[in-house]
Amino acid sequence: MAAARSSPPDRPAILVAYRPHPASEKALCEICAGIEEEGVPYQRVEDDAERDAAAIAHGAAFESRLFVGVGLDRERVCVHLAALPADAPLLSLDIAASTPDSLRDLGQNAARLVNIVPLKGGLGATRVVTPVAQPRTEGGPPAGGVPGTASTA
Amino acid sequence: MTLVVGVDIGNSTTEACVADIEPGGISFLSSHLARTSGVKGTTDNVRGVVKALEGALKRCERDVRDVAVVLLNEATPVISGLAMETITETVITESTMIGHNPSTPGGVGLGVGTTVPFERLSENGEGERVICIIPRAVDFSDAAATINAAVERGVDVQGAVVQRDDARLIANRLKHPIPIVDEVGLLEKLPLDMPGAVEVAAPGHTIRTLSNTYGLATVFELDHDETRMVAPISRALVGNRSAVVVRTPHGDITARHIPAGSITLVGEKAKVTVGMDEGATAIMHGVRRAQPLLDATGEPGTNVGGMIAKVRDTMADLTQHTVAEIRIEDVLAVDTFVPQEVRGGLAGEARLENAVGIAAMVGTSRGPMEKVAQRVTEALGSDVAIGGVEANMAVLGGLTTPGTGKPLAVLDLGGGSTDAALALPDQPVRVTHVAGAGDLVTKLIASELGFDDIAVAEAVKRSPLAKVESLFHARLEDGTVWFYEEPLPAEVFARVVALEDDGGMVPIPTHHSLDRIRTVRREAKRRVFVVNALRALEQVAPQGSMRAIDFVVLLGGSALDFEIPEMIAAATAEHGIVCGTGNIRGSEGPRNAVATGLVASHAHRES
Repeated sequence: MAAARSSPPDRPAILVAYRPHPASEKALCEICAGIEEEGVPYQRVEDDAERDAAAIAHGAAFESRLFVGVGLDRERVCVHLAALPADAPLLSLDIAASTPDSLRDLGQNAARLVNIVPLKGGLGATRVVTPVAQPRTEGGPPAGGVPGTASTA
Repeated sequence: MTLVVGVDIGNSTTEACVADIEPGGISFLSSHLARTSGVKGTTDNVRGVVKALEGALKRCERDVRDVAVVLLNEATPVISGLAMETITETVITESTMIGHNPSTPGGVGLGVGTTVPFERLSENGEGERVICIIPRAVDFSDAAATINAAVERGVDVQGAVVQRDDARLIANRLKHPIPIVDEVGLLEKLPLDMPGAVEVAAPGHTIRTLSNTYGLATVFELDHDETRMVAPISRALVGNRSAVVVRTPHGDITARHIPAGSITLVGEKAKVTVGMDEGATAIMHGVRRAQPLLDATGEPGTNVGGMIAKVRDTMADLTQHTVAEIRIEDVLAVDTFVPQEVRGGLAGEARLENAVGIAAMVGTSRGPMEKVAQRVTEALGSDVAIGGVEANMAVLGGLTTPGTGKPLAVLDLGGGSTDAALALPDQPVRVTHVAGAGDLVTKLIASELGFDDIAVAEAVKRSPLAKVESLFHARLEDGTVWFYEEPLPAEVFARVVALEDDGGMVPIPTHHSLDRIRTVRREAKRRVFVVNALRALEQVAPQGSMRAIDFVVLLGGSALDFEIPEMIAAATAEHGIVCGTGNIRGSEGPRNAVATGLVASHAHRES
């Protein structure tokens, strides 16, 4: 899982890992500018392994002391967290379809995951979000009905 | 044994109660509710009646053909409306100040100089103090490099104002730190070649110079007359972390009162006209002076005027009276504020402007219930009887709440109006309706938090809040932490959400903290329902003395709210009243009071 890197991570930082490719440079600059503007350190790292953006990002998240990683392959850029399943990055953008502003926003969002600030991109038409599973009560088995109700023995 | 169904057509919900009436007493079988179809008291209601009735019968497995009689209430429809009038506005002329407080300004300190566009920075000479104006086309590394070069040449670059969100990117690449304000959307409107000042405070702190009138005077070398003129600018910047001020010959910022019209209250003994911009206290003082209220009108061409006219029109249509015959019965005014974009602002600045919210209502003594009854018979095939005065039925139903006694008042906390009915021994039931209820609370929440979506405002009103602190947990307003096994979606990350009963999260589209949203929610409820509970009880109490009332039962949708009943109970306790959410028949909560009363009253008549 460890990718070839230029230097080990020496301070808490978001890891930005990428398949080396000339076309990636512009995207990388915008993303890193977004992270920097939010005031979070980042570290760029080349990733030689043949895998897709989501896997690169997930690997970067594991290596990052802040547990947030950004991964670029030739087509896509993903923002991932170590806590998420590998195949489900939190954010994803198609590089060909992106604008400098959308890449900058993505970088800012990666940093906002660290700083606990609401993400850019607004809510759009989002009215209600239903969490997939109900929250646990008191560390026991997941509650079946309305959250917070006491379960009957 | 007779099977009867009591049906209460309310303004929002239609409720049914099924019971067997036996010689020995009443056996209540089931209840059900449906949304009221159409305006209460019209034949449109039949759909809702059928739904509620069939639902109730299904629950106790009875057939509509066995129903001896359907009892309907004498519906007294109430039409209400509400409007908001903003009464102040802030206007900046000649783009003299920027106070939008971006989240990531750069550098720290105060910079004073002449505003110079980026393209001309190379023309400045040694010793000249400049504020560099950087438009969106300029890349942040070019901006930093050019500023560094200018400083090398001896130009005193004191600060920068940037269109893009680039302040820290530029600041990080400068050899000598300067204060930088960014995210100025309309940068091209900033006056150039004028004296300007940029100030940025350290994180967690606020600016001290540009928010101090004498600070402005010092920076721009003003005499005392000029200082007086710029005072509104410094006051507008108080509390900001960053600001830019440009000294133009005629520019200023004004806080203006908007001509928001007036409301005229016609009473038996007095006619009072109050300007909307005098505020809610003055308007309610006028309402009290004009009691008992005969009518009210709003100035034509204003929001208030339009709203009151519409309430009148709707009631005229409903009752087939002319508009001239309709009388507004009650008005409630509430002071509030609305975030409004500042006119002339360069960066989308918003100010909280004062506003007044107004609710008005009109009721009738009787709706055309005979027509409704006929249509129900046609739809179901059962006999239908108009049961009785709604208020009496409500009190009868209310008395089935365990622990109640007389004298009992019921307080119906609805959507458009708050209604009270008081039963005193050997007296007819006294009834009143006052304007302002659930809908006004929702509107106040939406406007004070600065968003339009009424459905989100409803969620804020009804549900406790939580702050999503990671993708896996949220902290509720009471401090409890909930952990989620599946990661939460990006839309709710770091946001304050309203937590619905089914676990759904409604993200609230503001930047406010949870505590602020909670305060807005509670204050909206207090300013409408506590005020109106006391107003309504005063109006039904003999000689306006609430001490004559021992028990108050809260009914209606808002009696199910998690905060409103306890606020009202606390306020009425000071008058020696026992008050709480109703529990009809010990099982229905605050629902089904009138429907139950219809059945009870019928049984009493038949026995």
